[in-house]
Amino acid sequence: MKYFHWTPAGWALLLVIARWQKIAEFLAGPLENKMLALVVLILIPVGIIIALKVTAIRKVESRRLQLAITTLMVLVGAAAFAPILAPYDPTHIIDLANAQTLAPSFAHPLGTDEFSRDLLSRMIYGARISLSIALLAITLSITLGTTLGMVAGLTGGVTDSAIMRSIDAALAIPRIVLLVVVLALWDRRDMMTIVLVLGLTGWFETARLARAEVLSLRDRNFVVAARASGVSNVKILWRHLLPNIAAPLVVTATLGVGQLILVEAGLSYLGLGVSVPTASWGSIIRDGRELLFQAPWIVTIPGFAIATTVMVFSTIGESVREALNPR
Amino acid sequence: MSTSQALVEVTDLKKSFGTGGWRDRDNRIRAVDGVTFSVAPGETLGLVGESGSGKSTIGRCILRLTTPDSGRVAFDGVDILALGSSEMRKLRRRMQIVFQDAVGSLNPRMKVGAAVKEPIEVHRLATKNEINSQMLALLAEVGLDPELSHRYPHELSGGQAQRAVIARALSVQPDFIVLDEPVAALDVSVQGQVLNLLASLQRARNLTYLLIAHDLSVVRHTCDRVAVMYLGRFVEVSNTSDLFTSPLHPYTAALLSAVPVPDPKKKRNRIVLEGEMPSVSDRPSGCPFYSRCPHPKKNDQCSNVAPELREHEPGRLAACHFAEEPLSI
Amino acid sequence: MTATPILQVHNLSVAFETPRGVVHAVDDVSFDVARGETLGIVGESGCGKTVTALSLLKLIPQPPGRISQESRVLFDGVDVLSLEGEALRKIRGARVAMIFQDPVASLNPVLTIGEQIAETIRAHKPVSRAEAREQAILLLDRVGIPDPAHRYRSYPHQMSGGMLQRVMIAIALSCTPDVLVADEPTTALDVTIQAQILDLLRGIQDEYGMSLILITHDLGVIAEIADRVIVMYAGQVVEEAATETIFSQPAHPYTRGLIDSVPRVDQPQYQITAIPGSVPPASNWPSGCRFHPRCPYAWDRCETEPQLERSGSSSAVRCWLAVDTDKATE
Ligand SMILES: Nc1ncnc2c1ncn2[C@@H]1O[C@H](COP(=O)(O)OP(=O)(O)OP(=O)(O)O)[C@@H](O)[C@H]1O
Ligand SMILES: Nc1ncnc2c1ncn2[C@@H]1O[C@H](COP(=O)(O)OP(=O)(O)OP(=O)(O)O)[C@@H](O)[C@H]1O
Ligand code: SF4
Ligand SMILES: [Mg+2]
Ligand SMILES: [Mg+2]
Repeated sequence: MKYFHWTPAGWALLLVIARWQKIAEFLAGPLENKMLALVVLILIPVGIIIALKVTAIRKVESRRLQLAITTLMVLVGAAAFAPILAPYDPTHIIDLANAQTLAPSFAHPLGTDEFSRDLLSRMIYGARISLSIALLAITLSITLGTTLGMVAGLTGGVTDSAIMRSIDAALAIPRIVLLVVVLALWDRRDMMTIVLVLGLTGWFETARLARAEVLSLRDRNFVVAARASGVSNVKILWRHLLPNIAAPLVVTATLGVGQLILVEAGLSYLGLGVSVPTASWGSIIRDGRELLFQAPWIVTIPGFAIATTVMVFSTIGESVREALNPR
Repeated sequence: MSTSQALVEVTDLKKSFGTGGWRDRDNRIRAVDGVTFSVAPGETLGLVGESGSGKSTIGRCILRLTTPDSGRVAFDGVDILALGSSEMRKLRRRMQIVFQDAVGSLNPRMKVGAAVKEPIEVHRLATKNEINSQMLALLAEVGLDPELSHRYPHELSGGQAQRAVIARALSVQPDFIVLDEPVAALDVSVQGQVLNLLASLQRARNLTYLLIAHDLSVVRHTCDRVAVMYLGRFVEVSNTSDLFTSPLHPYTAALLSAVPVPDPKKKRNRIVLEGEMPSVSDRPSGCPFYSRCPHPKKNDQCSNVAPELREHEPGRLAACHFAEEPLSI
Repeated sequence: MTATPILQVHNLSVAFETPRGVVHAVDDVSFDVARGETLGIVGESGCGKTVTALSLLKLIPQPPGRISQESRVLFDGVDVLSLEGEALRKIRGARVAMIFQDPVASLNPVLTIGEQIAETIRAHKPVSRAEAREQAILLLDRVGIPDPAHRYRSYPHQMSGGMLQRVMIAIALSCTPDVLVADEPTTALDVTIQAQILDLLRGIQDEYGMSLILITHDLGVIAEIADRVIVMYAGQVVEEAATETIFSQPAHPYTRGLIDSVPRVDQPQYQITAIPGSVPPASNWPSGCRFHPRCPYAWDRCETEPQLERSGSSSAVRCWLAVDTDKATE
């Protein structure tokens, strides 16, 4: 529990006491929200623990890493408990008659946007969208890339050539161009679409990595010995190869999340992001770009959030990488 | 040697490897070039020869870990090269392999106990409750502390890792084990322990071994019969005691005389071979050993006609035109 | 031999600082090498043979290595360990040369073998490029490489392990050293090639009158080539004796165990008397006699550490049995 800070836990407790009314509301509210909170709350720490275990990172003593993990926990917590934490409804226009941008104040700690919607609440709900898109898309692309890469590496021959040549072809097109074209041609742009598109265009490098790792392990004696004992190919992939290539994949995944958050923000900025009432961080920036000088906080605050999140994930990724080669 | 008794029977086995591109069909490395032999149940057959002579390739072909180009491998009368993959997986239970690099033959992310249990699970040889006790019994049988079942391979010494590998091989109760240089990587003082262990396991479980080794003293100690390989072929096959006292083939004689003996007072007739084993890809047309052969009578016949592996004395085969006039060692 | 030994090692101790603690790789090792003599050093993996060899030329990386203050390596009367810079370089390669088990790792893959020999010659002798080349070809010929003028232009990856070891020997010979240290020179080679290399070493030793320190774990190689042997176990010298004596009357239980635990190619043998247990890790040597946990003769006195007791000029044993004659006769 070296990475856990008790101070944030204390704050959380205070929050629970202060906002118990909201909590009650939340618990009585839609099941969907509760499930999401639960899933996020369980998945993220489990993911981190697995990542740390797999890479034996326990040895790494780094304040940067501790800070990154604590920040990540705060972000994830905010996203999961948005209904409890957000002071206002993010879509609620406080004063429709004279909507105006309010500077940060006691009532609106981060100010409001031009429709006088509370920016803090929008940021908290935005975290949900940005983080879940990135996490779901990375899960999709890592799973896909690992599976295809490992199959290509283990089977070799025609399957291998087919998979690898398609990857070469796909990689010849810059990803952002691919994304813009696909999303511009699509008329539906809900969260699942974005996740699918990001996930399906992001697995190529992972597949290459997984294949290369499998190739270097395939003829090692422990794999040969397993085959000689009659272990099936599927089991060899699952029990013998996957655990041995998991560490570099974890690194790719963590670094990939940061990237995806950036890409998603970029897409939203271009107006190709999720079109739901609650905005992601990227679209908050887009909304605020015309008021850059009158109300700079609208752009800078989500910008800062994006930068922090990307940094958090790359710090974790780098630490994992460092733990892998101690020299 | 009546064939019906043999556990493993290999007939005219050939295996070649490409040297790179798919167009160099003429330039292939003929790693194993037509070998025929059989191993009787309970017997230990030794396979010796220089590095690259094709020993490991034979071992892997017998277990069908590589597919031979031609030839027949019969295990207990069944032609294993004709088996479908699920039948082959079932048969794998009866034949196992132990490699030189013990730590490398264990999955670095799998604890020793799990590694020993895996084959039992794959072949469903025990119920869930029995598996653990079986694993512990196997560890005890190879002389490992049960405590070690919780260790990862890199936390073991070389000797301990090799014992764990042997325990894993035994877990499926095999009849036949290919031992590919099982002690070559071990400390001198630990080699003896592992050799003794292998011998006692063989007695207790009536195992059949194919022992691949380059250390002739290990072969003399362990094997009932020995096959000497040179450039992918057998040059001599014989029972151990005759082979070591009066080899028929000049290569065997040279090999024996090259082994340093830990006895400074022993004076021997040393035959130091010239040159090195030629590359397997450009095999000479006559006797493969011609270029290095120290036999005083070698002649044009040797350089033109490849000698056949023929029986010269009961149970003693050699591939040399002058096998009737062997060199003395 | 009355002349002063060419090389004298006194109380050599080498330790390494590692993340897991201090590793005492070599502990209080002393020996002499006379001119023209072949000294064999035998021992199992990790007992400190390579570290001893590297210390002779102060080749231990410091840190993490640490050679103790009392250690002396006197080459021709000069303490190598106190030398620095140019003075040290003049001894390395020129007067004490070294060859290793893995010749591939010791050679530069992007230079031809000939260039590498010539380079060594020119590093120590004031000769022209052409002269160095000529000498290199002569050396290649001397170490038995066929067609040396042509082979001069070969790269390491184009040659077999045995050939590369010959190249290493040629490099070592290039400055006619007084002492050649060979660390497991034949361990990676086939027996027939090993026999060739050992023959070659014997031949050049006679020809050049060098001293040879041959490190190996193979007792057979020792019997074949050494005049005198030191046996190392767990970083210490446990026995030193003339080769004949070591094999006919091994004094230390470890030496005896080692001889009994190797199968013999020249005689049938049905049971090997193996030494129980395994070599302890260098980070954690046993207390008392370091061999006592594996020793069949050990008794309570072995819990305290025995000293290396000399008897006569060329033999020494580190064992309480050698001191306690009552116990020995039991
Ligand atoms: N997968 C492979 N691809 C290409 N060539 C191979 C392959 N496996 C073996 N060879 C070649 O086949 C020849 C015989 O190899 P093999 O491993 O059977 O020799 P060995 O007698 O076991 O040698 P060693 O004592 O070094 O283990 C060698 O020349 C080797 O380079
Ligand atoms: N640079 C180093 N850092 C830490 N420990 C070292 C270093 N070099 C050697 N050692 C340790 O010193 C001990 C002696 O090593 P050394 O290489 O001398 O053994 P050796 O007798 O030559 O064995 P081998 O037969 O395996 O070559 C070993 O336990 C080794 O781990
Ligand atoms: S003192 Fe005892 S333990 Fe040590 S070597 Fe002698 S007999 Fe063996
Ligand atoms: Mg082999
Ligand atoms: Mg060494």
